Amino acid sequence: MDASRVTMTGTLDAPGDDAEAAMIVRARDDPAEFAPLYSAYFCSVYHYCLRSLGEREAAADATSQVFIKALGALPTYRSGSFRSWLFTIAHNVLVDASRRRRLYVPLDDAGDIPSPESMPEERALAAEDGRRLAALLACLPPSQRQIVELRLAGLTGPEIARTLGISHAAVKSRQFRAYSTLRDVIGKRHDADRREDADVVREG
Amino acid sequence: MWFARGKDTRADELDRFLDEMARGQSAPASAVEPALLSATRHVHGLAATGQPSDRIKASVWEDVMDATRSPRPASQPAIGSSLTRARPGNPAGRPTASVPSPDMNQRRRMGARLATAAMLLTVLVVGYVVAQVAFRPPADDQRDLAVVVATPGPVAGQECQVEPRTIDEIVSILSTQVMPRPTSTSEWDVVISPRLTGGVAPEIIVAIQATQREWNACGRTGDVLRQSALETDAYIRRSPWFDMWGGPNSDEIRTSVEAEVTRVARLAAAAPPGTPAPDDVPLGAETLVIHDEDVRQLPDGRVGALLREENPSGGITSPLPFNTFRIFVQVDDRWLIDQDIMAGG
Repeated sequence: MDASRVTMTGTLDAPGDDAEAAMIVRARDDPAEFAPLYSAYFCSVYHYCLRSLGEREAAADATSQVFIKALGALPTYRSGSFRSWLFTIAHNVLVDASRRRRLYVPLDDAGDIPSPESMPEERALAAEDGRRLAALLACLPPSQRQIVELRLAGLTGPEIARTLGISHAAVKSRQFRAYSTLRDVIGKRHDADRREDADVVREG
Repeated sequence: MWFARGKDTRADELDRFLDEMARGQSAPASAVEPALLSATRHVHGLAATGQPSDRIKASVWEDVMDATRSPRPASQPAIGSSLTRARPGNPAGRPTASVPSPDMNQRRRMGARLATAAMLLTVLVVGYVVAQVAFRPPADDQRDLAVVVATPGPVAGQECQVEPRTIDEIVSILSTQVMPRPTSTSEWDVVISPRLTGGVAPEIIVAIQATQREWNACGRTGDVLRQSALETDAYIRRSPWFDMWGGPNSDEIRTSVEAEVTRVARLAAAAPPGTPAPDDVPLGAETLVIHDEDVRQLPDGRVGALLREENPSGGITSPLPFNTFRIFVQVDDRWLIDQDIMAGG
């Protein structure tokens, strides 16, 4: 793996197990060699933190803490899913953060998001999608929301179980409930939108 | 009755589908219910848009490298403080001040709050005394004051007085958890039917409103065990706030219940006075009210009402975004919360 090909502005797909193990070994000796792993997981960790904390600044701080802790704890990492290990650290960082502040601030209230009218179309759409997603996740109780957030971060069922310290069976049952709730919420919103559209047509 | 252990095919199929998605593989979707599949793809699609800026990525990397170069204090800066992250006025990301530990920050803030509160209280007392001695409010102001006094203010924790359930009790209830009853459109239509309006004795209306207010008060202070005492066993079994579905053993249930009770109480205690309860406290616990005209007598003898949300200034807003009809049942001399029926907004 040629780390020089990976820049901080580039994105690398999560490496396979063997490549990952090699990166970990190199990073233990030289922190700068942590760059490929950082680049591979930065987006998913950052978005995981952002969905939990709702503020970009706080999410960036939390992401910093996650990777600082991960780099510091790298000598203690053994075998197994690095992603699961990394998100266990992320989960603990966010649990810690929730003890000091409100766990969730709706993105609508985040003052650092510019208005859609001022942004290029793609960013406006992304911001709107983020708000819709936040509204959906807010419908879930915390134990279910955690599961969905980790799913959105790309973790598998067994990895989520390890991250949260629960059984895989518990993961499956909570996530089924979570996605069923989201299905119902989305369905009701569509019905409401259709009724509203019908009213508009009728009044027109 | 125990939820039957053993495989739930639908949950297993969804789990497999999601695992395939996580691995970036083409996921066989035929075993997953179409609406569930569609919703899952929709949610993951929303998450797929938008990338953090390169500036943020580079800034965080500088933080990480800076941490390896210069030893930090044992405590990391509190999240949200951003004291050391590189930013336009501090491109090197060097600490602009020594970084106090989060606990020290918290003590300083608490000390500042206490000092401010003491000063404000002194000003208020002195101002009140001066006003009583020097001024006589005009008649209009006295009428307004009477209205303010007569109007119920925000629900205070002191109104949460019910004898709490014990954790043992809740563990026992959850150990016999049943599957939650799905809400059907017809069920919602029945409970909000206009023909059910009226006919509820005034004392019953007052009683269920009192239960709701006390439930709010207990939720406001994060007292989950007292709040549960205002709910029937059946309601607790269905509550998403004790998400035990999956058949864990009683030890796991106890651990989860204790963690939930502690977490909610801690969140409520951490909220500054006068602010809304943290989002993780049960939904709308401090702001849900029942209007007299929304109360209905149900055919099975229970009584229910549409829940409305009271805004912080005391005005009544429209029903909750996802309408909730709350059903109460009389148990001995109290009316307890027995069921929530939800419908679309």
